[in-house]
Amino acid sequence: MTAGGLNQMYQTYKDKNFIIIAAYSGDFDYELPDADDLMDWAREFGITTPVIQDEGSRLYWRYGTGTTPQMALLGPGMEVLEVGFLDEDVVEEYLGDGAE
Amino acid sequence: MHRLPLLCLAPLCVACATAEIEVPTDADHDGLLSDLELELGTDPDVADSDGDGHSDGDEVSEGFDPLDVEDHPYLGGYPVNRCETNPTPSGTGGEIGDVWADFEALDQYGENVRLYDFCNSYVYFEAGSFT
Repeated sequence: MTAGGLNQMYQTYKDKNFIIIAAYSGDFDYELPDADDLMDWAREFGITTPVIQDEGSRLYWRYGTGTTPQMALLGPGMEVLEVGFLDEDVVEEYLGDGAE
Repeated sequence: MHRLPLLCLAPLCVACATAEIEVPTDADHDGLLSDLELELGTDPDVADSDGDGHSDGDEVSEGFDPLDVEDHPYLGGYPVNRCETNPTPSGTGGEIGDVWADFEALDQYGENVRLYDFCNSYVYFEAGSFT
């Protein structure tokens, strides 16, 4: 999903017990982003949920399955519901109006 | 606690009397009644008992400890939704059904965000070098 799509997805599901966490390891120069860098990036894409520093891509590799970016949908209780390369359709399965 | 005289409007009274009623008060205007503050251990005369920049009322309503300076709502206003008890991590985290371990990382407001603060929510997590 594009960074701009993250906020759109959040706005769609935010009233359904849903949060997005974006872990940002910096641009391709691999320089660790500081809080100002994270804020710049969040503002550029209108993201109001946590944009966190992924030092050394440790979170990326900790849960990585090799996709770029790495995505996961966790359910309440932090259980992995879906992992890999996800799009909004996956979230809709769990949180959309037709979800059980 | 304020004691207010019960007003009696003489023209409407057959027999007038005076009485006092007790009106619950929120002396420091933090959203918590002073009696409740005494029960909680917070200062009924100080809106922010732990001095963390968030009123006691806001902290209590959002599930934070108004007496712990380190425990307060995020500056980003994220909808914290904690579990009653923390989950037990399992697996590597890379497989369906694995339970992710907690982590903390710096956010765009310069605060450390904790995954388990959203433990009772659906969390969409995305990691990478975005451009």
